[in-house]
Amino acid sequence: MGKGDTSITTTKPNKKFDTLDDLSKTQAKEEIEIIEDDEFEEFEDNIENQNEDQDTVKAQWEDDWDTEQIDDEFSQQLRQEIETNSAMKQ
Amino acid sequence: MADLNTYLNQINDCVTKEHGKVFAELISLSEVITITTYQQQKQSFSNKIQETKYNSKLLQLKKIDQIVRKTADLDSLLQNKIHPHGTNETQRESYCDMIASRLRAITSIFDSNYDDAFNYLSESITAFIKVFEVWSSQAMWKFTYDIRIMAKLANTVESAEKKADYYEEASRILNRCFQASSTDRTTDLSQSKKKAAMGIVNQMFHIYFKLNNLKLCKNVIKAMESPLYPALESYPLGQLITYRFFVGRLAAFDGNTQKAQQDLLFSFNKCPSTGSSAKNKRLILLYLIPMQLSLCRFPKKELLLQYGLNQFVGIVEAMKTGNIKLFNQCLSTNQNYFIQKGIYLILEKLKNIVYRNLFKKIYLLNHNSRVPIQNFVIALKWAENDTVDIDEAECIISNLIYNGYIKGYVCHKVGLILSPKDPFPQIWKS
Repeated sequence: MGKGDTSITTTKPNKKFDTLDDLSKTQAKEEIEIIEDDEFEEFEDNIENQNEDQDTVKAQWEDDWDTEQIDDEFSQQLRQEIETNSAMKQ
Repeated sequence: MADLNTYLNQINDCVTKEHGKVFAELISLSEVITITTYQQQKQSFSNKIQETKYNSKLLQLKKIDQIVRKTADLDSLLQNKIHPHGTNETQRESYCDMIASRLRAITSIFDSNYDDAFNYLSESITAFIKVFEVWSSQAMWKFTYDIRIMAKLANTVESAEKKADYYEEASRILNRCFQASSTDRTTDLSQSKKKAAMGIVNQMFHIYFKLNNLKLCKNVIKAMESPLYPALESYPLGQLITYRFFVGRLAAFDGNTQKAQQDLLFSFNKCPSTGSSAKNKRLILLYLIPMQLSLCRFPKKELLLQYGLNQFVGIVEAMKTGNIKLFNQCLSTNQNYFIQKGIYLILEKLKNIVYRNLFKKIYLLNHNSRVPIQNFVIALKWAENDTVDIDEAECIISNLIYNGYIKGYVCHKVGLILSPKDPFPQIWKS
């Protein structure tokens, strides 16, 4: 807050990240410096009230989600870690 | 001379006919202030249509300004030319003062004398307040908007003599405007000057956020949401979107997640996604996402990429998978960005949800509702911090139980004993 007066955006063009690994690597490498204009621009003209399109809303958010899967990569690593280490203790 | 005459006739005409919209356009300084600010900051218009519109208005103002500069006695000239019907002598005087100060403000802006420009605009507003009526509500919004962006422009210029913060000064002027609107005792709120209140309050929010004085917002919100004021929905939608954006952000700072989520989601859904509004939509989203995440409503990746909010992609993935390693990594990589936006602390609290999902995985892998504490210790050592011991793991678990993320209890000899029914209740309502 408060520092948003200047508007210099130095983000690189958006890249598509295929995997999460790509993403975190790229992010770690680039110290992305973003000084953005924080200002909310007021609306000069009247805005028509449109009812939200439920499909659009559904396409934007996942809200019926819970973790049930244990076959992803992270879970597999987790399983291995627990199995190896608890075997060692016994 | 013709341009100035035409202008003054237009003023006479729309005051006589009470044409609020035209009047607001005629007294607007937004165009010249915005263009000058952009030049100062070497910024360019993001919206071509707006740029063309603003430039043609600027041209018009330049022509008028040339005549004003040649006029020896501006006040007498205006006294002769400004005669709206249906106004008494005092009101007429006020209109003259208002226009005179506005014209002088324009000259000052063209001369890059922003301190004078600010003061002239302030005088113009003082004169306007005396003649402000329900029909001129839109002009009230325009004036308050202009004094705010004028303060911003004046603040960008380093000046040796003037040390005062123009935002402080602008907030005093806005207070007077708010007073002028709120002292209307008319019981029929649709015919009250209070209809102008939200437009003024929005400018106050802008400035209070800039001054980092959020407690001042609360007083005006209290007034606005009292029954003495029109219902929020009765204000123009554009104003309501701005209003709820600020109110939502305040609620977020106060830890009132549910309310913040409702306000920000309203603003986000109602905000148009075209033209320069796309920038607003992105800004709303920046504050909406942490609220949604606290309620386990995850933004789809496409949404994040569409608005260039890549910083959240990893956070979302980490939350869903319970990958505390990735979560900590994402948080520290983007630490400066999140702190600057004032959402770092809110994001840090999401860690509880990551733990919940991580621990649920450990439970699922265990195939048994009695999970040895050692399993949690191993996982935490591996994924988060090598120094984690049994005490610390039990502490995290107890916290999750206390907060309702896990149903069960800790038994030192056995481990975490989970409730046979719904051990990991859904913490969000769909």
